[in-house]
Amino acid sequence: MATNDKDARIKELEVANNAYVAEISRLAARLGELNGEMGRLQGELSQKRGVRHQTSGLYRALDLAITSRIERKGRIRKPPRRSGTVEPISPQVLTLDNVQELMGLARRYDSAAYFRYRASKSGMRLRYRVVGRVYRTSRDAAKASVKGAYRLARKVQK
Amino acid sequence: MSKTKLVVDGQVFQTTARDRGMGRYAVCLLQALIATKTYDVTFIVSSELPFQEDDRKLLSRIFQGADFHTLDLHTTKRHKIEEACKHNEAVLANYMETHAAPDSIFFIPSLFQEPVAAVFPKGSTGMKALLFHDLIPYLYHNRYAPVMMWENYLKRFRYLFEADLIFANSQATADDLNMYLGVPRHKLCRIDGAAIHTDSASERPAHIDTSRPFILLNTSDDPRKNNLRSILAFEEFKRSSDKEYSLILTSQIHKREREHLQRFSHNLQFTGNIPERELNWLYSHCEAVLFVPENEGLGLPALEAVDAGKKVVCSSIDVLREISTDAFFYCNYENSYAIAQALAQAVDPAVKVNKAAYKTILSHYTWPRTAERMLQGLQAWTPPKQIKKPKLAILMPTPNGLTGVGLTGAILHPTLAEQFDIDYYLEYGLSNESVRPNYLQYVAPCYPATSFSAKRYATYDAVFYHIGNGDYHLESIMAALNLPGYLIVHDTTVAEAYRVLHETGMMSEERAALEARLDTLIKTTKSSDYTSLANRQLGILVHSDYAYEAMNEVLDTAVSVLKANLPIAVPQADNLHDTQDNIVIGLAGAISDVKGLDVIKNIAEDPEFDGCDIRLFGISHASPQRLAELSAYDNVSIATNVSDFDFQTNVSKLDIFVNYRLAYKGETSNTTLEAMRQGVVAIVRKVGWYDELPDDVVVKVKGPEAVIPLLRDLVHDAKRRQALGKRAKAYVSQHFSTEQYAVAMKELLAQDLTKNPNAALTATLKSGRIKSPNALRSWLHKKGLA
Repeated sequence: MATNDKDARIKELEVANNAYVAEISRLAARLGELNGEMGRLQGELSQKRGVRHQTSGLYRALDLAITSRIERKGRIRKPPRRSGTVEPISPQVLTLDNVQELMGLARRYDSAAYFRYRASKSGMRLRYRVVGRVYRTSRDAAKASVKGAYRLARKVQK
Repeated sequence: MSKTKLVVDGQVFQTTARDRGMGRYAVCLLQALIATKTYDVTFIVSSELPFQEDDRKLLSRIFQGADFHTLDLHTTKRHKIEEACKHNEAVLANYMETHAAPDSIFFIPSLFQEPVAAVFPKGSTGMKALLFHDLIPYLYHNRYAPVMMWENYLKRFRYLFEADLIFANSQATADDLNMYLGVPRHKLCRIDGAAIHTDSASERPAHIDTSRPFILLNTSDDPRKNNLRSILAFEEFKRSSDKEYSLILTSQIHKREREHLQRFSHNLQFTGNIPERELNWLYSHCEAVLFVPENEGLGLPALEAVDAGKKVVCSSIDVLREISTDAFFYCNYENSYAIAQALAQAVDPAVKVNKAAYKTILSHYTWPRTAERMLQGLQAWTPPKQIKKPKLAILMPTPNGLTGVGLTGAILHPTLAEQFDIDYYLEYGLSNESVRPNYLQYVAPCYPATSFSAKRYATYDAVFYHIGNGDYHLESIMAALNLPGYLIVHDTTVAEAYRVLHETGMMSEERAALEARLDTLIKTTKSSDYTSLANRQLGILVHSDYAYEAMNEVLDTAVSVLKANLPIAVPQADNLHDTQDNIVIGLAGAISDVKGLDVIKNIAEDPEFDGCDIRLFGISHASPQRLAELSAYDNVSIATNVSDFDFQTNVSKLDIFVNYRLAYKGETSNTTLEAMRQGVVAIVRKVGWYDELPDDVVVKVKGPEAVIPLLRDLVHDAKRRQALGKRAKAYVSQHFSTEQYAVAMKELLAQDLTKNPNAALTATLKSGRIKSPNALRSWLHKKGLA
């Protein structure tokens, strides 16, 4: 009798266990499904705002893309220029054993190099500086005129 | 005796924010403050923003006894923010001069509200105070920058740093200001807040179906509100429930967002903005309040639910744990299944509201108590002593760059600015990559490091050079080699920086080789390429005894070396991360082989740590194959290029931080300190700076083979972990403040320079006598220096 009870209990637990396993896999599948959906929707999230919001977002993104592109392209990549020659260090010097002498030599080299060193003040190449300025000026002017036209249209409408 | 005058920038009440959380908070706070009758309160409003007679009457009724003054204050609607701010500063200065005593207080209740240009009056001698709601846009900059006037937001930080006293609505907000922006603790005053009730009546909302039991979700369409996961969790919960629940979402939510959310549930009801009496009714009749945002400044919906005696299901985040650690049903906001579980638990009739905890919350979070805390802050404030600030130039990497040195420099700024008048000369590195917003450029004078010259050098009382081993320190090294100043040593090896100097043509190959030759002759053991740099300075600041010894090893001249601990802010709130089943072991910061990836691999392979989560996060310098190899382990997760906020959140969730450096180059580890300040146990290699940390605050290992046995002990010993973490946090808090760093810098500047030969060069350069390389060379020759 006791064995039968035990068997029945085991069977009962097995059934319950199977049900749990099924439930867990159902939930896991659902979770995966929802996570996928969430990922897709996160992308959409930025697009689902109002038209005005969307337009201003687009404008900012575009503006940022243009300005950063100009900045990136115009950045000076060449090594800094020197206005004059710097006294070279002969390779033989590197065999010297006198620390003081070497330190003095290094100092002499550095002082000449640093004072002749000419870094570009703006960090941008001239034509890109011009392009950047033209873009910003025309952007601001266009913005101001659109704003003005909009105000005028509203006035007229009223 | 006449009362002190409190002048409040009332422009926020002229905007739509008046009816939102921030505006309503300010209304309740100021009402309670006015009720104390301590100050003679005047509100300043702008003539450029709408303020009809009805508005005036309404505000006069709300703020009884206060005066209203309309001034010609400009807004960002019609003017550029710089122009508007400049104009407003002058207008307010004029007003304060003519209408207020010198000890009057100027208070800004909402600094960042568009289109208001809230500023402090220029040259005001009285106290400048502001109310700070949250740092969320800065912390989640990737999400917020495209949807708001981002540059305007950052430009307003100037006034945040100008304020004498900042009232924070929670400890979490105060901690954020201290940790992420370096605002000194003495400027921060936590006042908390309370549930907002401007109308105590209750009325059933007519347009909402309330016949079914409902869960209340007090939200908005702000990206951090976590609406989608809330709804998914609600649906999950509903599936297992036998009741027909609905979810009622309050506040204005955009139509598209509503349509979007409805795709996931047919049981949603949107109320839009509703009168407070209807909101009161919803609070009092809901089954529970669901509030699972990613972040909050205070968490008003939770307080409102407590006020209504309702159960709250909320995110397990610092700010909500701060209200109470046991009153609510906490869950991981990132996991909709966990939210659903918490919700099921909350609506179970057998589980009652924790009345004792609610009582404690309600006694602390009241408006009179909030106003009292604000008053205490105002009355305890003493004006800073007027001192003559030395003018400093600091050459360092840009704060938004890839190196942490720039960030440390920016976080130090508010503390240093109290002692010094600082100009920054920033280096942008070769990649010029930006990983965080650079607000420093708007709060302090910043110039490109390339514009630093002998001519500019002559105009400063002292120059500090942040020196590290990378391309963010090239100009600093070049300038430091010629213009004597004070070195701040971040790495005792700068061989890599010299290599880049040579590759970019700023230095010849022979010159770089000469420095290496000097190392060979001096037989340096703890540094490389520092001989010339160190010997040409007025002073050196180091962050460890190891670096101290390294500098003294190469020094041949009388240059003072001083040690200060790398500054770091410590949160005051306890790190209450979830008691997880799994122990979390992490490697953070720069993910590379030298930082012990092999050690992590061994841990992942050890079956003893199968139940542990192993997380790697930070900037990856490892190869993609190496990362793929590691992420193939089930218990390893890797996150690269995380934001500062995500990084800190991840650090705070660790139980054990493993930092086994295979190669040590005299650096101090900011990431180890970041883990320690969160009370996380750090396992470090017994070398250099790490070895200088006390034995009872970190766990030290001699070799990589010792990591696993130690880790095993720690995983099984929660008490030891807790004790170590607690001691680590206390140690960092006591010894690594920004204040001790400022003191060390001052001390270094005060050192006697009579025996230092470089001081003579500084004096000559400042006199303007040296204008050419030849003049410098002959001067150096005359003095026997070259």
